Amino acid sequence: MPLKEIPRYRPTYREDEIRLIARLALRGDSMGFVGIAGVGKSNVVNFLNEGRIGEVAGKEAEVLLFPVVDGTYWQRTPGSLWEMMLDALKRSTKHLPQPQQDKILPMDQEERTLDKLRAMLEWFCRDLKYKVVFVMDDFDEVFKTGPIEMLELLNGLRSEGNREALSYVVFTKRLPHVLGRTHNLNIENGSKFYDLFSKDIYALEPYKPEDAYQMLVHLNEKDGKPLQDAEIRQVFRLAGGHAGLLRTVFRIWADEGTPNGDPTTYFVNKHDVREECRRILAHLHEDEQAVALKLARREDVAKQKPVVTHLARRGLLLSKQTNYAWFSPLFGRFLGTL
Amino acid sequence: MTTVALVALFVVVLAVVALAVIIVWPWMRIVPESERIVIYRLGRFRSIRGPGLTVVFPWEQLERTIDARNQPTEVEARVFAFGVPNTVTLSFWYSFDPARAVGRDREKLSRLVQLSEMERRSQMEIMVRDSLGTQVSALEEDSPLPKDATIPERALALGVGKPRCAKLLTWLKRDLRRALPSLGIILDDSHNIVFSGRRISPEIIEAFSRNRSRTLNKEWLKQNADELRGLGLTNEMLAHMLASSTEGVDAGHLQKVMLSGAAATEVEVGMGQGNETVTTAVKQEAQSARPQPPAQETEPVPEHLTERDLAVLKTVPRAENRRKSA
Repeated sequence: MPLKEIPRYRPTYREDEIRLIARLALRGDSMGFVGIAGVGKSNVVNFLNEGRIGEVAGKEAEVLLFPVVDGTYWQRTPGSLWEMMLDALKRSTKHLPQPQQDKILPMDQEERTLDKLRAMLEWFCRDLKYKVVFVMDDFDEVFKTGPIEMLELLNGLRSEGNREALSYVVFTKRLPHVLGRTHNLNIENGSKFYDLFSKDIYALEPYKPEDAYQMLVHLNEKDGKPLQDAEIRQVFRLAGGHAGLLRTVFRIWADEGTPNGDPTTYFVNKHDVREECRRILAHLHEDEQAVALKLARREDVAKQKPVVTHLARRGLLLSKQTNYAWFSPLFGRFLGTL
Repeated sequence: MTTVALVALFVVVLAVVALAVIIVWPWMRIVPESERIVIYRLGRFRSIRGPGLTVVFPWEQLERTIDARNQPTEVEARVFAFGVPNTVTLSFWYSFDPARAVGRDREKLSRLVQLSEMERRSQMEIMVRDSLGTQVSALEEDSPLPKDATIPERALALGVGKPRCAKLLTWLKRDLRRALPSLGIILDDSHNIVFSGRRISPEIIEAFSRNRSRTLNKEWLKQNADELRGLGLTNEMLAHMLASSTEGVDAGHLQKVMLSGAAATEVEVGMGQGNETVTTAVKQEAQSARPQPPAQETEPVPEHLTERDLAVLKTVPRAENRRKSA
């Protein structure tokens, strides 16, 4: 018997995002996702890492391999990035026949790792005809720190005969080229690696209601159903589709029971909720933060319309006829307390 | 019976047996101890056979061979335990033995043997990760840390040899022993489940020392605020000094809020793990009595987002929008 009856993911979990990733990856194209802190990037990454893309995108997507590289563990050297990529590739291909080890290895550790990585890519992409899609999770620091030569080598791995079989999906909290301003990624001939996905950078928005509801029902089931259905819907209304806030509000409600009085006021004064909201705000660009605070104070933002539109595109704001509402009433109320 | 008749009978029996062996010999298989064979009959699952000598009749098909060895394996999982992200590697021993797992239930056996090695491995990893997450949640409830536990204490809660770690592994083993047979997998009880590897985010390790220096900075600034003001440092400068040593607070943001010009502006800055806040107050009358620092002494304003920057981000195409436009 399965361990749980309520699955964590619906069969159509992040359906649009997964289909988009599959479509581009099958063509050998790279892409980027920019998502606010706690929006559920890691869940998408885990979903891909678990080889579940076929469930949403169909059987043809089963030829895709998704080794995951977590940028938070990067040691700020090119060598450590190659090590992480090699480890990730080994983990995601454990079930497949492995290539023969090369008997002639360079002396230099970094070169050795890079050579092994190239050999494995050649084996899986060209010999076994898989398509490898490196998932670069939390890659903000890598873009910020560089060096640019290391990023260009990522493009170089593609050029070595793996063009349609190797691609990247990059996850960051801010726009990659803004993070990497010092490297001039987005100028002409600035960076071939950035050019791989510059035309396909998408906002990773909070969950759709169905996915958020599924997450809450799953948490509720795991916890012994402390919340009624109406309360689950209340949690969703307060937290929007933000994974971090959903989890935090659910946890507090399950531990402390139904709130007295206005739920928004009750939860916005909770430390964990404020921490989560603070984290969302802190990882926005300074201009985004300034406009968000202005909106919260109902100040005039006519001159910052492009930033407002940008916040809406990121899923922070929901367009409501003539004005905007925050994706989460809790986040809106939190901003108002600053 | 005469001797001749007995001998003749013996020869006939021997011939019949020899003939039977000759006929059956090509159908015989020797299945090694480490394997089992899956037999289909006319396209439908029939049985799992082995180890040892077995016969596969012509109307039966040897559909696949399964690896039944008792073998070690490792599963890596990321889990949040007591508020600290961990990447752990779990090591345990198992064997794939569907007959032992589900007994004589032919329907279940049939389903299990249809899974490929890759599919079974993948499902096993999902089950192990899921179980780990569930047991960690249960452990957090059963053996919570004090609310004011520091980051080092949270990081060390699952250290090898600690009571919580031992409890977690015991629960995990019990849970997997119950759940893995649904995949035809039997956990080897003679080997313990162990953490063969554990990594904590370098951010957490950095937070150990940052937490310490932040606490020192805050205490020092609080104690010496009056003296510093006497030296001509404004509230804005003090707030900026504190903010720039506080993780996650944007110093530029804090400065802008304070300079936006309310008569009395209070900014509450959450300091992380505890409920500590720092409140800075800029009062209009105090500001007018003190000379404002010249603009060039403040931190340079970070680069702004241009329209070109903002045009980069796209929205994921939604299936429902495509259906509407169609």
